[in-house]
Amino acid sequence: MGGAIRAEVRKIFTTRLWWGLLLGLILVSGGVSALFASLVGTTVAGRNPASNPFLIMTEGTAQLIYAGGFVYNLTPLFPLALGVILITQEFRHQTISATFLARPRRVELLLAKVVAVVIIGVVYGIVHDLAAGGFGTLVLAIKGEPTFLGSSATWQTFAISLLTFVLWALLGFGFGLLVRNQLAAVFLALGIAFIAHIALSIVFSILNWTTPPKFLPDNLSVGMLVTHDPTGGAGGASPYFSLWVNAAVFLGYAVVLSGLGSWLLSRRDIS
Amino acid sequence: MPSQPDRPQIVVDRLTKRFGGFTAVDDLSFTVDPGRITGFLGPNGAGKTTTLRMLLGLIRPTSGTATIGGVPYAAIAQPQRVVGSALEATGFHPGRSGRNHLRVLADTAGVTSRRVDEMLDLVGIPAAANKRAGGYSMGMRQRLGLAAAMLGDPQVLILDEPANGLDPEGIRWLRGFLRHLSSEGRTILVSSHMLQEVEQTVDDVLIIANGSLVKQGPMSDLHGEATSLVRSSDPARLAAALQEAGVASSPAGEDALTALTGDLRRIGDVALTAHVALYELRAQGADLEQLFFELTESPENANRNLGEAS
Repeated sequence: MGGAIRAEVRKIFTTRLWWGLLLGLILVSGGVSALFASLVGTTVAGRNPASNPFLIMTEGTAQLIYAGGFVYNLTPLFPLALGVILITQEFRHQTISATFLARPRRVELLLAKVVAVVIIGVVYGIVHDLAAGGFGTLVLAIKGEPTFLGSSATWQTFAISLLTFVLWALLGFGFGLLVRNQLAAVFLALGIAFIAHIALSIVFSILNWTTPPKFLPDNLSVGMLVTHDPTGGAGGASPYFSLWVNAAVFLGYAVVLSGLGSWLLSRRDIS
Repeated sequence: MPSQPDRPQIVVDRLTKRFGGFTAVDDLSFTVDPGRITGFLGPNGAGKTTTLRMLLGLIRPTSGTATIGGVPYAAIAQPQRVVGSALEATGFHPGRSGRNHLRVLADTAGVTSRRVDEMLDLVGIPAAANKRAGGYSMGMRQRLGLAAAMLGDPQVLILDEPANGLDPEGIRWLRGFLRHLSSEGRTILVSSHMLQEVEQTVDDVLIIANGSLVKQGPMSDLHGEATSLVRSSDPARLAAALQEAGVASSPAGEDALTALTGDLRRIGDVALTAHVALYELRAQGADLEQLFFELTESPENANRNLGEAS
């Protein structure tokens, strides 16, 4: 099993994909984080303390800043695309035959792949923390606002971010396993995660439904990262489940997709 | 004879694969003996690749079994150490270098990076190894595939159309490469849609058409009895004289005969005694290409892929 995991990790780091996506991630996470930090103490996002999370710097505001692009549903697209491509490239370039010839017990092989996806997810999470933390604190320090780097809430966000990245990458992996066609899988995954998320959010808000939006993947991940109310209690009830409920539901999505995809692939003819 | 673990025998037993209503491989049985090069021949679409993929556990047979050394491929603990394979439609990630492709496989095979470099030397592409595989020529891809097959130093090699895309120099190199591996006692099963391509390389042949076996045996059997072509001033008189000497012959064009013997000296002697001048006298091998067509294109074996749409 160790050899198979080493092989899968080596696969990830021997093409340009991982650092290409990582560069995009640094720009987006760092950029959104810097943007949010620049809004602190201003009325750009509104004068109402119940709806402007940046009006007064709180623990929750810090979490929002350091979660960076998760709030606008941009950052998760990177681990999602990574997970999709890591599995679908095996089909696209017909390397899946060689992969299964080296490790014919397919479920074992797919488990090794999952471990490799977890590892690269953690790497992405660390880089995201550095980018969002770096740019966010830089802007806050320039403005003379507190950075909340001494707060446990901030460090909880940094730590949970690793888990969030792993979950998004696994979701992509499972999705790619089911769709298999790389182009279709990437466009569908990004389309669902980004556009369908926005469309459903609008529909849910028109219908005044408050529970279904909590099940949207992006809301689950924001709910994991931003556990304190950024408005300091002025905003009313949290739009998210609690941290571990979010994580459990998201893990459920990833496990169902990956499990179903693995089961189908383990029975498939590779020709 | 039970196969010994270090000299595994390949046994295919009543193997059948149906894709929907199409029977790609039909009740196919054969064995491949250790230490020999066996050519697995048949026209395109005969079911060669499907058979090899079933043998390697990539395709699930509809019925029947295929084993290597008595066990299915997927049950071999370290398959790369026992069976090396290079299949058609097995790709390389275009952005990964040849060396890294092998190192990934080396991780699962449990062999060192040094072995990777040795294999790159063996197949003659050490210089290209650090370049991305997307830029490789067909010949280089074939060589990289062979290097991958050899990584675990396996006793059995299964190669699907390894000569495809090779230039004449490459085909000559492949022939020598396979001969060398065979001299080390390895079992090699090599598929091809061209008999001539492997004619000089293989010991045994296994010919299939439309998913069924049409011939199996040593290559020398295919050549059949030796004949000679004789061109002379008076074919009729020579034919009579040969008949008297106990050599059957048949007309082969205007002034020539085909004599059913490979003994050229004897034909010359008979012609001299009969006072017939010879213009040409040469030994003829069996026309393998013709034979291959006869075997694979005879009415009952006519290529199902070329027939009228039904």
